[in-house]
Amino acid sequence: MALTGLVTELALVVIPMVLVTALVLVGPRQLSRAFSDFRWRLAAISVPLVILTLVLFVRVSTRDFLRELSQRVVGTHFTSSIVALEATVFETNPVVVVQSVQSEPLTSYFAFVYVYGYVFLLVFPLVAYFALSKMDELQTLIVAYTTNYAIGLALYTVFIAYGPRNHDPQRFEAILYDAFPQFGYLTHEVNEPTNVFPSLHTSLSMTVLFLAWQTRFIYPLWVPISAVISLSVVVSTMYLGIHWFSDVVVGTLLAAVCVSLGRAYVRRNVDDTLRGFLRRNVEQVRSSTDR
Amino acid sequence: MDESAPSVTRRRLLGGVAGVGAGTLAGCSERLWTVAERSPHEQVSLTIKALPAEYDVMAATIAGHLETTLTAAGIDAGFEPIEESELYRQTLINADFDVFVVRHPGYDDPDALRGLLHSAFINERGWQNPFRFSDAEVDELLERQCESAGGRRRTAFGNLFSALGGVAPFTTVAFPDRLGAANEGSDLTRTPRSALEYYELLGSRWNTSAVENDANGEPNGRTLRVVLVDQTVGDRLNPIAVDVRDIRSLVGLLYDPLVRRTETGTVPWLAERVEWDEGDTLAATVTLREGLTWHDGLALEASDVVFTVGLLADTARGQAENEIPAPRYRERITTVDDVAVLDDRRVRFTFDECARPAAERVLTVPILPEHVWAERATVIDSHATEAVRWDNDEPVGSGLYAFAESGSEYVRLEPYDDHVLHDVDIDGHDGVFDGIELVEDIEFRVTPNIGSAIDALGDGEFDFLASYLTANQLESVEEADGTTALHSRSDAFYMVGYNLRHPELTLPQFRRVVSRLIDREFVASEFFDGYAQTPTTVGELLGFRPDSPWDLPAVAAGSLLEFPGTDGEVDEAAAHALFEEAGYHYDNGDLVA
Repeated sequence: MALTGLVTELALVVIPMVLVTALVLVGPRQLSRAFSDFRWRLAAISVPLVILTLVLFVRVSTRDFLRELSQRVVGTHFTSSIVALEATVFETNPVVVVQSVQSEPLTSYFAFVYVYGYVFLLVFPLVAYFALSKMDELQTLIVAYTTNYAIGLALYTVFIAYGPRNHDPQRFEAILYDAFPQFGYLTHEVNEPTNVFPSLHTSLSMTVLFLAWQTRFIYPLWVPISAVISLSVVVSTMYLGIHWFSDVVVGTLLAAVCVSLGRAYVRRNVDDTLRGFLRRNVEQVRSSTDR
Repeated sequence: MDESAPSVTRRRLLGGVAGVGAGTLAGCSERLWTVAERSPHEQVSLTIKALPAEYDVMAATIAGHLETTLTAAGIDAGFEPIEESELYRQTLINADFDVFVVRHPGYDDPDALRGLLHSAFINERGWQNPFRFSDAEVDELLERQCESAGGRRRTAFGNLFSALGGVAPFTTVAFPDRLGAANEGSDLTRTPRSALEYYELLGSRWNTSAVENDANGEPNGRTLRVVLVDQTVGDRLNPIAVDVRDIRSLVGLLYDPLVRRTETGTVPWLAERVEWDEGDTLAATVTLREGLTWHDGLALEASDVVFTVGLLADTARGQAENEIPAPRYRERITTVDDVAVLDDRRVRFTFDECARPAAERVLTVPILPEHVWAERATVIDSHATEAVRWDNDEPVGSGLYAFAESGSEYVRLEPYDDHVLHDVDIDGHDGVFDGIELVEDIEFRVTPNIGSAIDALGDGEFDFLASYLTANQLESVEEADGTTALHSRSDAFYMVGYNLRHPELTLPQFRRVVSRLIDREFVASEFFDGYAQTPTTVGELLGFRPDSPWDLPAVAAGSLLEFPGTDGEVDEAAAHALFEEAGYHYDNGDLVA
């Protein structure tokens, strides 16, 4: 239906973008070498991948439970507090300021960046870091993605907030879904309308940007490219009426935290510790079944 | 205790948080310090709860308007959007609100006001007095209208409106028209709302459209496809719960009452006839139609009717220390003194002091199957039983439509072929079923937003939209290919309700000023773009439409409707003067209690 069509379209747009960028930034020789000896690379990132899968699994299997837990037990309705906080800091709400420069080309640009640019931004570094001779960067990236998502979900459970598009329509506009209602099918499938504080679009984009800076000597061109896209994504969340300025600020902080967590994971050899832990447990299970 | 320990108001708390969190933001610091340095005071604070804009644009717009005008009047006001079932849980069950804005579906009878306002319901849940309003004079007048008919009832309403004018715990903002959309080929002229309107639509489709016959000469099943904008549908189909999404038309199709109300009078439904005995005490003997069955095949008998009335009065069925009434339909059965089974098909109602107009309401509640609901009496807490918490996601009713299947995003109903009304002509109501054959399934399915719903209607994926539209959205329906815009009347009204447990809202003079801070003319002309009427009398402010069928007396609203400002903008000095008149004062522009 509408959803399958959209996902196909998304793939048809993003895959060529990733391929072309990879050919230019990474180079065909390095790419083909990386994909021909992919085994050790996959083995090197297996632990972060397992954790990511685990988080995604927990998320999918507890969606209803988390919603109930949030609504009935731990959640605070937070929208009016965000608006009130921003009203004490700013004369005019930043979303109103951003939306005041509306035009059709801008709307198309931001909608494109919000949906396609964002997916490209998240996928490309996976490919680029996969092609390196060490898997440290890729480990950092996957751990950072995972912690972003996990911490984000925890915050969504505690803070129940709606974005500007769901507040007073006289002040804030729902630009994305007014202009491109079909994108609603995508977000409807993967998200709740109350998953607003913080902005995961912002935190994941800023994570990519921060890591792009860390790898500037390997992929110098990736810094300006990711900077343009990630900052556009950040602005688009407000322009399109999805997120408040506060969501963006906290999203950026979350990105910084998650990048340090990802770096600590590599620097402190958490990977080896976890492997050792898993191995011991597996051996224990094995020996107990032998007996 | 509260007086000796001043609570931290939200604005002060946020001022503090802002001071730490955002102090580094250049250019803001000056503003920040002004906020932080304000003298200590108790600013009046109000949170306005309503549906988020994606599910009710107008409720969110009215909430936003009220937030703006209240802020201009010096109140610390905030709009908190809340998801539908959670909104009803907070406001109607937990009384956890200051102010709410909702689209009320409209009254079935003026006696509905008794349920909303009588103090006898003050400790009940649901639509029974959610405001916690209590006024001896109003109670007495509500009872008097219940006990009388005709001119005497009209007089009682005149007095009631005069008494309520200045003290009502809720106010009406506007009476919206019903704006909707349909697929061009569907031949709809209005959006069906009640079960009867669905039957009429399905009947006319049967007559005009080519429903093919299959090889056996049986009509080929087609489906009436209804789209609505929501996250899910069908996960909770409990007809007596209030913390659910709006499922009234679904409930109406699945569950039959004894009689149905139409614009032209009542139609006997499960009842074959109702004989009234208007002697010293009012009584009614209801005879059920012959051969009635539930969707699971069991017989629908007089005992089910008695059971339903008992369940609505006490969902715990005597197992709790006190009665736990149903949060919906409850006040319709409070007129009943006794209800008894005469035989399998006959039930006798005797009423407390009550006249026919109010008494007849008991005949319109959906009848529930005893064999399904009897085991749901388990007490959960002092206000809830399993019967009201239960999702009932595979409902067993007795309506012309039966539940077929559902997923998280759709519900499918199928015609119930064994319904006796397929073979019965309803006396005195020609046309209700003339030539109607219900052969089509009905499927309700959700889409994420109005825009995608309109696209899908244009593509022929659906027949019509069950969600309501705004004027802007109606325009895009008119412009879209393959869709028809629908414009019809509605019974609904936008209600602003107050919680009288709030320290300021408990004062009538405070509520009166808050109610005036809505520029109703502006709301109707600008936000509704003219597709709404505004209240002009006290009765209309209480939710009775100007074109309501009940001929209620017009009591002038006087200053209650005078907005202190122009074009939706509050004249701050005028608003401040109103609150000062009501005994409040201002500190640095903040309204202080």
